[in-house]
Amino acid sequence: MNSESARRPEKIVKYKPNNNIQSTQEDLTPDYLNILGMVFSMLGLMLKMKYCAWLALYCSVISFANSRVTEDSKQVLSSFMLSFSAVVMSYLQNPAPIFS
Amino acid sequence: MRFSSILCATLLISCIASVSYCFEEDNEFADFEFEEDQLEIKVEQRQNEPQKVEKVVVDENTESFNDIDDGIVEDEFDQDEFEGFGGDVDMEENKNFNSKKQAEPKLNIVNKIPYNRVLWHNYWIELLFICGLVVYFINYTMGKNKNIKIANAWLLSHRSFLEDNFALVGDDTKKDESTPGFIKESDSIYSLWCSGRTLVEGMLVELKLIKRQDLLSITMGHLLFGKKNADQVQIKVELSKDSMDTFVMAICSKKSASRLFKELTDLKQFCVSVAKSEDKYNLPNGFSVLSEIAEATSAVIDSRLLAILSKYSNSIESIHISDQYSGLAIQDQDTQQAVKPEMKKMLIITYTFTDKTDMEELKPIMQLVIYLIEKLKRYKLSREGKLKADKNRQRVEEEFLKNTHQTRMEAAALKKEERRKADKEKLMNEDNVEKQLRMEKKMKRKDAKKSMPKMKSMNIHL
Repeated sequence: MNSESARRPEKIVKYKPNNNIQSTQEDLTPDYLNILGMVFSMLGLMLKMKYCAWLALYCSVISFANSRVTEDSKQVLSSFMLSFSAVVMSYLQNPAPIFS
Repeated sequence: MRFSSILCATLLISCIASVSYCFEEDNEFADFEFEEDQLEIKVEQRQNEPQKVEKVVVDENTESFNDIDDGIVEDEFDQDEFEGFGGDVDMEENKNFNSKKQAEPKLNIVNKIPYNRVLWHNYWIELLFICGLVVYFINYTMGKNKNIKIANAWLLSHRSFLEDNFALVGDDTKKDESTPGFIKESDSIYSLWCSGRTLVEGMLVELKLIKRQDLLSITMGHLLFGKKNADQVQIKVELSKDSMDTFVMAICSKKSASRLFKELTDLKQFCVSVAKSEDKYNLPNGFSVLSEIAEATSAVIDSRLLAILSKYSNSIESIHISDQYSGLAIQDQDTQQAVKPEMKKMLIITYTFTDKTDMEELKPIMQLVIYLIEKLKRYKLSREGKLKADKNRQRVEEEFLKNTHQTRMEAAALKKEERRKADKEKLMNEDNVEKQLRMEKKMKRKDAKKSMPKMKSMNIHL
């Protein structure tokens, strides 16, 4: 195998992120977690369910860890802020612990 | 990176804030409890007070006091009034009781109530949640760094070989980086684009590592796959148009065979599973073959490929060669496309490795990729094989047209309707009446022509 002759600098093709067909269709966990986080934080905020607020925080953190770099970071940040505010609000309104 | 660091910082601040908030909460709550305690004490004191007053009344028996408060006078025992009711005995008992009360030691009010311990105990679930978050973040940073380390180790061992074969190793999308390398897709997926070689448009190496940054995925992986949970490398080579003959085949581990067959359109449309493939091609145990044209498959599986397959029988998952690659099959029938997706000539090799694998050991698989590229260029189908392949492609094409006939018809009808609407609008907007009439006539004639049955006019000579 003559490797030296195989190199062709004039044949360089630039990387196109969209030619990566397969990876776009898999791994939807961050999206699902994002939605789940939204639902939980809504439950936490509206129905004052502290469990849900905490779970929402966890969901948003996990979706942050799983998110792709190319994805919109604002979405992750907003879901995190929402869940965090759900926790804060639920404890501001009623500082009693979940289980006493 | 910047974003993640900002997030980390906000999380840390939030953790601290929540902890301090908990403290505050505790104190507030403690105040409340303290007040409650004090209240109880006061209540106890108040309960004692009337007795004291009683005692005062009984002992001193002052007239002024009696005048002011009649209710208390009631308490004064009039011996004449209650003669014969055993009042003496009561009086004596009362006196005894009061003297006992006096003898009792004073209540010790404990100023230090151990509320802190009690309240932390109440907030144990919250503490557990916060601890979980802290552990998750420690794992996140550690797992992320480990994944970066693995990707760099892979690149370090393969770089020189790749640079010998490709003019471009790692795309320079970011100009500031002096040594372009992996493109980070997420914390567990890294991809490397190589290009600039004969016979090849480009090669994408994708490292799909275990999601070490996510504690949930790690635990799920351990529970579901146990020790089989491993890092995966997918090498996708896009071949040039004329560097491969027309055939589709795949050698894959038995576990992934059915999944690949279901997921990939080209395997689904062209290939059949070869029965007893292990004996037929002398493959190591655990591999199965999906093949379209038997002669091509047997030509590709040569001694070198077999040697590598038997050496890496545990790690190689699939070798997929196709001239009709169009990605994953569309599961949803409703979203069927009217236009046929672009077909690519692809060579895809997927293999796995574990933490303990030495990266140098994986180099022969990369050499196999280059070897296969050159072999595919050299190999030409026989005439019968070529005929069969063409026939298969034609069949698939026809099937596709048949399946999408309905959708294409609908699209055409929609287009027609739109054109008609546009014409009508033009007519309505026309200011010149004469011109409008002429256009209307023209349209009517057109419609009439369309509604007439199509007939050929013939001159019949009798």
